[in-house]
Amino acid sequence: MKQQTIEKKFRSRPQAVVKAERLTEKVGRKCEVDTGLMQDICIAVTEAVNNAVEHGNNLEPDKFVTLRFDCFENLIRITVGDEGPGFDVGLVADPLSPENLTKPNGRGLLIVESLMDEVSIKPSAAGTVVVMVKNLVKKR
Amino acid sequence: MQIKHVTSGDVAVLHLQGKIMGGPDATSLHEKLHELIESGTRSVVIDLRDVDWMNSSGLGILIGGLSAIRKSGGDLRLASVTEKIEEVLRITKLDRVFDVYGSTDEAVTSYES
Repeated sequence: MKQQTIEKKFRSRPQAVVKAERLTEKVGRKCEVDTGLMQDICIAVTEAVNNAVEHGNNLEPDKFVTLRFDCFENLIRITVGDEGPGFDVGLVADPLSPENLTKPNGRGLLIVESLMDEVSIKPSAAGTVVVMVKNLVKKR
Repeated sequence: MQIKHVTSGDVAVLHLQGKIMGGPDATSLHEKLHELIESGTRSVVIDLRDVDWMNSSGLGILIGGLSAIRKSGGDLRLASVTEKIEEVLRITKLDRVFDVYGSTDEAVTSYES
């Protein structure tokens, strides 16, 4: 399969996560990604886009979230960028500690890191960029 | 995501369908759970057999509903979780927080004991 790149920008509105998920499904079909892996990828993309819209861009509709897919033969790399002020990853509370276990939020990053094969987060004053890689198993 | 509400005795059963990922859909589930709690419902079963997957927004809504209903002396139990949701519950250790049953019938009858 030839390498393919698909990129789209979304305004920072709650609906962005639904649009991002639809785009992810479309990319998955185009790149013939296995259904089980697609679920992991969809969950990770919606987590990253939710974070970018709500925490990165603080739901400001004039700010955009960029979602990019780079599909290769054996892996898919997903990049999610926001235009927010950035954050300190080290300050994210451990969602597995007993005092946080029943809190309604704070699990997104844990889930992304568990479901994807590689995750990197690069915060900066110009925005945060999350890069996620999933190794692919082709449909038979 | 679609929500179908049925009642079995004193137990409210919410049958969810689709994907739970945040955004406008998640708001409707949050509102439905709190509507049930405010109307005095104390026993809730969430049937997840037709939910392909959920992310942390979905989990947050369920845990928020669970906390609210337990404060009022009730409980919220999960039924028929799919493989992917089971994995996400395990990753987040929420499988230790929620009571999970193999079927809606089992979850409903668990309130009788």
